[in-house]
Amino acid sequence: MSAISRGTKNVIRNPIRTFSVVIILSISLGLALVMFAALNAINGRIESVKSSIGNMVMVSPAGARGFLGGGEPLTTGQVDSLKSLDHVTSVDATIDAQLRPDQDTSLQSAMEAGTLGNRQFRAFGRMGQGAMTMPIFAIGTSNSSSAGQLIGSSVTVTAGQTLDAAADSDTALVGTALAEKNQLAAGSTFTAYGKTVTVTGVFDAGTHFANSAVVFPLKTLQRLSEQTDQVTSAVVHVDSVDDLASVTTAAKDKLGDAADVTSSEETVTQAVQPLENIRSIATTSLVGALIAAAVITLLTMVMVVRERRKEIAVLKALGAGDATIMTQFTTEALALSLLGSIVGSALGFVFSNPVLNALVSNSRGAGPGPGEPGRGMRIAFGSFAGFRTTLQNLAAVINLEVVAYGLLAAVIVAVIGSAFPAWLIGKIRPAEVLRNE
Amino acid sequence: MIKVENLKKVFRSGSTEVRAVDGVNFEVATGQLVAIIGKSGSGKSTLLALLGALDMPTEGTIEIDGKNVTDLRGKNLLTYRRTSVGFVFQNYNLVPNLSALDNVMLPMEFAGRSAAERRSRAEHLLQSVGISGDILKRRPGKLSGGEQQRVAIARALSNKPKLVLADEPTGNLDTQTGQKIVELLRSLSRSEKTTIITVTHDQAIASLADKVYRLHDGKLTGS
Repeated sequence: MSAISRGTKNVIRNPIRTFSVVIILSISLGLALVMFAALNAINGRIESVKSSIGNMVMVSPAGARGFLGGGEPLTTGQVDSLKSLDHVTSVDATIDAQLRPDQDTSLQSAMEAGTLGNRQFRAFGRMGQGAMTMPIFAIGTSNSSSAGQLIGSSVTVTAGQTLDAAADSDTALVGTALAEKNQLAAGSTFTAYGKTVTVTGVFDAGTHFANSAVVFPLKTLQRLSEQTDQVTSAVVHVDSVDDLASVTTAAKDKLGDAADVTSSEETVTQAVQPLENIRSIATTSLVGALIAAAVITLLTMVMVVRERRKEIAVLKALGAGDATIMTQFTTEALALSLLGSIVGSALGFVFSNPVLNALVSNSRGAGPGPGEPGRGMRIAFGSFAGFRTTLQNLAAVINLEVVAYGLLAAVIVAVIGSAFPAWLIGKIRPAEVLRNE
Repeated sequence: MIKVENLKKVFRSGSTEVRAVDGVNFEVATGQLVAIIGKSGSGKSTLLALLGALDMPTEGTIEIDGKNVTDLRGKNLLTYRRTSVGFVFQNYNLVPNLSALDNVMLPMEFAGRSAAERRSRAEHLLQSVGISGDILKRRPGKLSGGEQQRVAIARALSNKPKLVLADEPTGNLDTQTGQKIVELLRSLSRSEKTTIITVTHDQAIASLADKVYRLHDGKLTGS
C-alpha cells in the first residue's frame, strides 16, 4: 500500500469529520465555481456589448451636424490621412445632400412635413414660400454597409443588390419607404440633379427616417451634388475598443480645429459599467471562496496532523521519509478537496443562475439606468437597443471546462492547504514515539 | 555485536541541565536478549531513542557490527532505521486504519521491497508469531492487546533488523500474555539472529534475559 493509497484511505477514517469538511469545502468551491461561471458569462457579455457598440470614431466637420450647424466640409485627403493612424483598420467617408422633389429629383419624399418639419422650415426662414415639402435625404458613402452609421441604423438590403460604393456610377440604394412611395424596385430609375439613376436594390434600416433615404456611391453624390472632394462625415474603424481613446486623440491631433471627433468610448464605458460592477463582485467572491477553501483545508489538515502526531512519529521510526509522509497527508487533503469540488460542482449546477440573477438584481438597483446610454449618446449614435438588454438573459453555464477548472482549484487548494501541515510534519521528532501518554 | 561507549544525552531548558543518559557503556553479542531495568525517569526511553537513531546523542558512540550509528545523517540515517533496527512499543503503535498484514508490510514498503515480497514475508512473520487466517485482515482495533503486540513484533522483524528495541513490551498486557510475548521475543532473537534490547519494569522479562542492566539517573550498572 503506497503513501497515496494510505492517504486516500485515511479520508474515510473519520466519516463524520470527512462529511462535514466535504460539505464546507463544497460550499466554498461551489461558490467559487458559480462565480467563475458568472465571470465567464459576464466577460462574454462585455465582449458582446463592446462589439455591438462598435469600435468606431466619428469624424465630422467642426461645428456641423447633418444639415444643422455650419463650418467647412472635410476633404477626401483629410479623411484619407486618418487611414495611416495606428490601430485604424478602415475609414468610411460619407457626403450628404438634400434632394428637393420636383427640383433636384423626380422622387417624392416618403415623409410628411408635419409639425416638426414645418418647425425646421420656419427655422430656415422659408415661411411664405409655399407648402413645406420634405426633402429627400441622400447619402454618398465609400462603404454601403456603413451608411447606416449616418442615419442611425444598420442597413439591410431586402431586394436587389447592394452598391459598389467605390465606383462612380449613377446607381443608388433606396429605402423601403421611399421605394414604396415612388413604386421603385431593383432596376427602376429616377432622376437626380438631371441624371438618370438606376436602383440597384432596396434597403431596410428599421426606421422611417432611414427608410425614406437614398444611398449613392460617395464619388457619385460628390459629382452629382457638385461637392467634389468634400466629405461631411467619416467613420474610423479601430481594431479594438481598448484603442478607441488613443485613436480619437490621434485623429484630433491630425485634423486639428477642422473637425469634431467623437468616439463610442464613453458609451462603451456606460454600457459595460454594471457588468464591470458584477465582475468585480464575482472576482472578489471567487478569490474569497478559494481562500476560504484553502483555509478550511489547512485547518483541517493541521487538526489531522496534530491528532496523528504519534502516528507520524511511528512512521518516521519505521523509516518513512518526510516526503513520503507529506505525500500521504497531501493526498488526503487532495482527496478531501476533490470530493468538495465534485459536490461543489453539483451545487454550482443548481445555484449558478440564481446567484447570478441575484447579482444582476443588486447591480440594477445600484445606479441610475445601468446599461442605458445617455440621451445625448442615443441621439449621436442612433440605435443602441442592445444596451437595454446588457444585463438581461445573462446565463452562467457550468460546463465541463468550468468543472475542470473546479478540479484544478481543488488541487491548488489542497497544495496550499497542505503546506503548513507539511511543515508541521517535518518538525515532528521520531523520538516522540517513545512518549507513553 | 553492539558496542556503546560513553553515551551521553543532555537536555537543556534555560539554565537547567538534565543528564538523561550519562556516560553509558555496554556491549551485546548478536542474538542476545538484553533487559534494561529502571524506574520511570531513569533515562530508559532516551537510551532506546539513541540506540534506534531516533535522537542524536550529546556525546559518545554506538557501533553496530563496527559501524558508528551516531555519524549517520539524512538518507543513511533513514536506511539505518529501515533496515537495521526494529521497534516494539508498550502501546503497540500500530497504524489504526491498516490491517495487521498491512502494518507488517509497512516498514518493507519504506525499504523499497516489492509488493509480492512484502506480502510473503509479512504472512510468514505473522504466522510465526501466531497470527493467521482472518486475523491478518483485522485492524488493530479488532485485535486483543496480545495480538496487537504480536503484530508489532512481526512488524519490528519485517526488514530483518540487526537490532530490535522494545519499550515496555509487556507493560499493557496481563502476566500470562506478557510471559508469552517475552518467550516469543527470546525465541525470535535466536531464530532471526536478532539482538533484542528491551527496557522494562517487569522482573519476569529480566529473568529470561541473557543480560540485565540497571539504569539509574542515566547511569548503567550491573549486568
